[in-house]
Amino acid sequence: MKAVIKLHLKENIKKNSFIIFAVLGSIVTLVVLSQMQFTVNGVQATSDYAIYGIQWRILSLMASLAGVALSMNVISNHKEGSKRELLKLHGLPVYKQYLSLISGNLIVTSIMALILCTGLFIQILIKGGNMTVSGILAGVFFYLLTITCATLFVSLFTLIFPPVVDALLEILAIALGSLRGTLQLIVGNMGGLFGTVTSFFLKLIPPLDAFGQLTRDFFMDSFSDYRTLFSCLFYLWALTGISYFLTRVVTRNED
Amino acid sequence: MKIKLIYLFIGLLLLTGIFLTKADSIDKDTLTLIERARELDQKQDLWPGYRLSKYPLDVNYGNIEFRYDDGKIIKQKPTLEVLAFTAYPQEDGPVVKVLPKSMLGQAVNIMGDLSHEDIDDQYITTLFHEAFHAFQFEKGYALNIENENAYEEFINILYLLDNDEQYQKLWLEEEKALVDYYKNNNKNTWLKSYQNRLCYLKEILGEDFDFYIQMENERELTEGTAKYIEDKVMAILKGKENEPVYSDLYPKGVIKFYNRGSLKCLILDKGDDWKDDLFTKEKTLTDLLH
Repeated sequence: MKAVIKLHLKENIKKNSFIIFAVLGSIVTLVVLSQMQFTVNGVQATSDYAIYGIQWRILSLMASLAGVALSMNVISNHKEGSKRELLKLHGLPVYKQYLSLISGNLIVTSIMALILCTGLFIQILIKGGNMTVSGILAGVFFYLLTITCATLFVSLFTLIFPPVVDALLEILAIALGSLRGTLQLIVGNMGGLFGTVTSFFLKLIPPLDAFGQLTRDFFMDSFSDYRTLFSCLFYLWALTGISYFLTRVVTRNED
Repeated sequence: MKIKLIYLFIGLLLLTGIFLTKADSIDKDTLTLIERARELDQKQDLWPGYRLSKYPLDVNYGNIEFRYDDGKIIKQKPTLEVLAFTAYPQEDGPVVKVLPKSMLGQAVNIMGDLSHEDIDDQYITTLFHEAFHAFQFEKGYALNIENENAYEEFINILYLLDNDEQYQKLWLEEEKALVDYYKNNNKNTWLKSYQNRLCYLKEILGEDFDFYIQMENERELTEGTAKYIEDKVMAILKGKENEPVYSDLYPKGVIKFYNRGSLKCLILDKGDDWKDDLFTKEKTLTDLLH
């Protein structure tokens, strides 16, 4: 399995997408270095929370979309190529090959996500702020968990759907996941059958906004919401289990 | 096998965590904010006869609700089938229906730029806003929300007006004049711009004019006064008054009536007592400004 992951990493590191995201990371760095002030509702937002909070939000969204770009064709390409049968002959079951590819996707996306943070890290070094080292590390950890959650969800789709449908659904899932709290309040406010059904489906979407909140809270040392923490981690735990079972089921059907 | 056991163990730990943090009362953050709001309420006289602490607060967690009534917390089934911040009339008096702080935070912090302090302040001001609607209910004044058809018709007209460039221009001219009225007591310019907008409305709405103006005035009075209370509380929390400023961006939707109503309240504040019995006088904020 490790060999497949390594191979997957090598292949992806050569890809143009990796360079594109490195460039995007540099753009973020330049924006941060030029000390661009973000304005919120026409008022200059200058507090640490506002400036870093907005950056975390943008970076999480970009990195999640990077996860989509990287993962969307991986399984389908593997199915079409000759490696699948070759590895099978060498004793690596197909489900383990898929799990290796999913793990590879997670690692590559996490590296991308860290590259995207270059600007933020430089800003922390130059400008500093009201943060602690442990807070920053915890913030980065939850940022990577956000990306892991998005990429894992994306990988589930790649097992079931063809790449084009898959890409559309994934982008939709990331958009909805980033606004899940707002949408839950909107549909919850509608009530009725539509509100109840939509609310249920929204609960299945990755809680990217809640993960984002945890990232910002840990980063700024203002964490207090244990319920959200446990719910988010449980979602990720369940998603990991579902990914494993779905991989087994899909490969059994393919065989 | 070892990995599967570790996986199951982690799941068990997380489930325990969820169980231990499940809502069996109002959560600590929300409770602190409710108590801060009540404390503030005791120190301030925001409106004659208005006291937030007079009304029970129902905090809705989706499947379960907790009533905060004068320090006591009672568990109950949600009495509204929707998630909302609102005031609700009940047999034994109006009740303020709210959501926990975490839900408000997730819903409003779309750009991730709001700190916990910002969300706390927003939550407290929302409590005051909704409790003011409860006060309006008590005074016998409430928007006619039961009549869904009338509201739908109003929203349809509003949609047309919001997309009419000439109307937008007239609205902004009146807005500018109102800010000038507030800052320089220049009433005549406002009266002129108000009349201009009314003439245009009569021209394009025809038979619907009276209906529209009545709905507009109702919203200004109900939501504008509640927004005025909200802004006053925000000023206390932030420690500084926010002076009204003119913006040349036309606000679409009903939010414009909140802001305009609030601005009219600020102008009225410069004159004689105008708050007493406002909700029983059958007068609009515009009538009082004339």
